[in-house]
Amino acid sequence: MYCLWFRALPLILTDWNFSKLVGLVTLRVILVDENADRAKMVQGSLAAQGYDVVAVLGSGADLSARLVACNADVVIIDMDSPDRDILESMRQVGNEQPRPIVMFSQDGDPQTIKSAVEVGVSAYVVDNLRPERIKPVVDVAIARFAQFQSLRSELDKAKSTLAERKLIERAKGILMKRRHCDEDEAFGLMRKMAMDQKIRLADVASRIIDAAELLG
Amino acid sequence: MKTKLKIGFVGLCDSAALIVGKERGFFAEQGLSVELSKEPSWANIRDKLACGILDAAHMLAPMVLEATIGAGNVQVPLMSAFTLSTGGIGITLGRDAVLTDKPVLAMVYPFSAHHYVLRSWMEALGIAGEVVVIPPAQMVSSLAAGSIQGFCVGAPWNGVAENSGLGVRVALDQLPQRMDKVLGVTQDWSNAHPETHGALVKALLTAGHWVNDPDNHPEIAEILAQPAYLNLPPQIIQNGLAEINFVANAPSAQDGLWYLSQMQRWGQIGPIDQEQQIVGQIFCTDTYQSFIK
Repeated sequence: MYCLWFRALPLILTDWNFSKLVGLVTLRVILVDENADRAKMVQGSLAAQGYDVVAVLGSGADLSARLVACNADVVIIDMDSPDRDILESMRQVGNEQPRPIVMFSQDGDPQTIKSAVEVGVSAYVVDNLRPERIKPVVDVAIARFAQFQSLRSELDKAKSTLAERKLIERAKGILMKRRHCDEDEAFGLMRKMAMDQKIRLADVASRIIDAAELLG
Repeated sequence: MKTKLKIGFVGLCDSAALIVGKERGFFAEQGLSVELSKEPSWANIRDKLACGILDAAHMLAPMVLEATIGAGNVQVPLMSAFTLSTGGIGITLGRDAVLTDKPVLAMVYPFSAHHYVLRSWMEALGIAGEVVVIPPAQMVSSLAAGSIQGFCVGAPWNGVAENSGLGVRVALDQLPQRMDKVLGVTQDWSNAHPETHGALVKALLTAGHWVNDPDNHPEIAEILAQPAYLNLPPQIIQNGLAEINFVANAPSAQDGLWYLSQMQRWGQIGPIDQEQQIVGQIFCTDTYQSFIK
């Protein structure tokens, strides 16, 4: 009844794992992420694509036991998690784990692996799943992690811009008081220094603030 | 010569030479500008080296073997021309540990001295138990929770357990001092940057000697105690520093062969052709000698 066009069949060919092999049963995914916001993003995208996110864990959440209990196929884990080494051992330590776990990168393409590492995500899969089945899950994770990374750096930039604006305002205030000049003049002085010294306005501001502190 | 480097480390006392190298200017003396990257796992260290995100890293000696021969999850040819530390390995048992009842004992990484020391100790005492990996920072809380009955880990974690009254350290007097942590780089990186590599080794040699001097330990402990580094109390770190030898710096092919035999002994790998040659290409004593001239 089952057409045996696969060359190598793992272990015992039951209905269940044959179905998994040919993709008839949806993959069960565990997410391990120190960052709850990012985990929500990844979970949302995976669920939208029909994957079954059976657990979302933080660190120290007894990962091994949860993996066995949830019967997971794939673990997407953020590289900030110390639990990666636990997953590394699941192929090696040889205890009575029912399903050995290997890291995706053994079969993945080098660019995918590099992209994953660069955005800080790693993936582990049970040993008898074909890499092609995992790739879409990993791609979703990479995309969401990359998006999160760029959102975070935009936020950091905005925060630092705001912080810099505050510095500049403060320095302007100091200049206005000391030199008895108006706002435009103060700003003009700062801008000139920035241009002459080839430094940023925010750096001029810092210098003024530091100097004022010393001079009292 | 490449002078800007990113070097990975894991938060243990035996990363001291790297941290001190940066903080006390030993790297700068050799013309190197080093950014240290604190990694939460050994797997990260391996993968970031493999992808070229890190130039060099604090590594477990058997991990260098694992990656090069592809015994674990990722295969990438690595090598080491410098040993960062020997010693500092200890086994701690929970105060209420019952060793006759299939205890669960933890270690740091499947390819580590800690794993092999633990297994050998269990075998010597006839302890039949389960061996698991737990990150060092979670070991003490796992012991407290009773999910493990003991662990084998590096400094300062045995001290942390003892200090908190949760654990008792096992005497491991006869333990030979083997190459434990090394400076790991990819073979490609080593071939591409021999001058930089040499400068790095020279800096670490000086840093290692400085770190090894007990008179400097209080200062080193203060540096390592910072959140960016170990983020632990200075006294515990200081006690941990005393357990480690930072000046046995030549790579040891002999220890490399021992690790290989342990990987075979515990079923991690099968027989390897040309063991001596492979180990010699991975733990390069000649390269070390040429660098420190």
